[in-house]
Amino acid sequence: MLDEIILPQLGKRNVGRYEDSEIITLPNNKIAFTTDSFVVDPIFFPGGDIGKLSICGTVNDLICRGAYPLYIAFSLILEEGFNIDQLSTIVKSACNAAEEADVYIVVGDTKVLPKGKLDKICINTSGIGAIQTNIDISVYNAKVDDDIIISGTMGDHALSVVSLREGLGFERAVSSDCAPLNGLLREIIEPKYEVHCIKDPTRGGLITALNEIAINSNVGVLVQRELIPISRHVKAGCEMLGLDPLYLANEGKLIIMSPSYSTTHIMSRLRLHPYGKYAAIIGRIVSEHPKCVLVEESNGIRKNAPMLAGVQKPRLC
Amino acid sequence: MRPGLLIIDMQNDLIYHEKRQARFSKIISPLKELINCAHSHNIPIFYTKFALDPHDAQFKKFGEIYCVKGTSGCDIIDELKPLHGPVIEKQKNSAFFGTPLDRMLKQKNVDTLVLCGVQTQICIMTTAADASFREYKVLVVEDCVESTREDKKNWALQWIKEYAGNVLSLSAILSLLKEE
Repeated sequence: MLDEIILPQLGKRNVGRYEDSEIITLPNNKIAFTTDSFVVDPIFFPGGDIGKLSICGTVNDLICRGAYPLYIAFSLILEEGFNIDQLSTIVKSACNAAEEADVYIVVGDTKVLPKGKLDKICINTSGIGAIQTNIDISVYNAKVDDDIIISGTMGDHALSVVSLREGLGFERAVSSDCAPLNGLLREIIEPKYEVHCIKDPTRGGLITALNEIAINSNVGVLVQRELIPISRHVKAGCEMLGLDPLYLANEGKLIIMSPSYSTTHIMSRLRLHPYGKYAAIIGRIVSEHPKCVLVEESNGIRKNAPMLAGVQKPRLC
Repeated sequence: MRPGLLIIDMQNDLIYHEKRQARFSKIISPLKELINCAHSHNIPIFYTKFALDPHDAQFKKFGEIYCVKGTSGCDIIDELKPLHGPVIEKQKNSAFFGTPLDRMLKQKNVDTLVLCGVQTQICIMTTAADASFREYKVLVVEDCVESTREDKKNWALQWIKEYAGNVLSLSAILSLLKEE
């Protein structure tokens, strides 16, 4: 499997040499290190597949600490009998995502479980990135009066996947936003413009990510719902299914918190980038209601928006 | 306008369910009038039906078993027979998902889909959405769709008007079809 399928698909993005470990040289002493595991149903969806998702998710986790992604470990766990053509496509997608992110897959592993012990495929990754020494971006660093910026529309990935899984029809109109965002990071990180916090709103969506920042930074978060960009199709799908788009997972978006003097620069750079053209300022960090997220609705009423417990289930009955 | 009529899921298990029969059977008569009009004006007619495996995941979700392939409950109700078009089997809510419906509509040069059947807030609504994304004009016949509850039907029709197409009365649709 390694020689006939995986390595040929990874091509030049694989720089490992079949050793038990790979020795790599890092550009400086400050590195970010992350790990994640990926399962998704269905494994192929509009805009991507589990292979692309695994690389983008790992890259974006590194970006959230201001790190430039460098190397990835890529491990596949397969159900016995997993379709070889599908495996080839998934590995190729991972390679393409690595190419776009300019990262190298240096080590990996494959395991096969007996039929029925796993739902098709799971991918585990680890990633390393380098951080410039003067960069300190963290969910613990949000400060009162910071602007809250999001890089684009919310809810596309989750709605696309749910629609395809349930046969709802939206998968033709809504694609996953799955994308590696290091290009966005390069646009916004500059020594003279501070960025305090970056987070990718994946599982649990925007609101869950904002809660994590509010809790860890011990600040209040106030956002205005009508400022949050949501595509018409996502809005329609969420109304159909009784879902709140602010709790839906995204796989190609960033939340950025920055002091107001940085915001104009960040916004102008984001909007020039293909992955940031719908960027918007959606609220600010406040000193009131620490550790809580409030969403101001169109009628001016502010409602507490807690972290998502469990999973939003689509209602169609 | 090149209409095609799509009658969704008018099946024994769904229409004659003890909890739904009173509401659902009310649309049979207007549906027959609509079908007869379409047939007499040579408008293409299509039917869908849920044709599910005995262990379909939907059954766990809804707590009941229905429309299992090969059972009489899966069949189109007798009141709509003889059928005037193909019956498309589906396993999901949208009539397009995993079916040849799109290809069949294009073969008949249909650009406007007239929808009727059950349930408004599930298969009608998702099919309307899917059809609109495939660039069909969508017309839902208000008197020929039904839901388990009136509020669900009204909400679904409102959603369709907002996002997917138009909702018209049977008399308005009949006038339109007679013009074609």
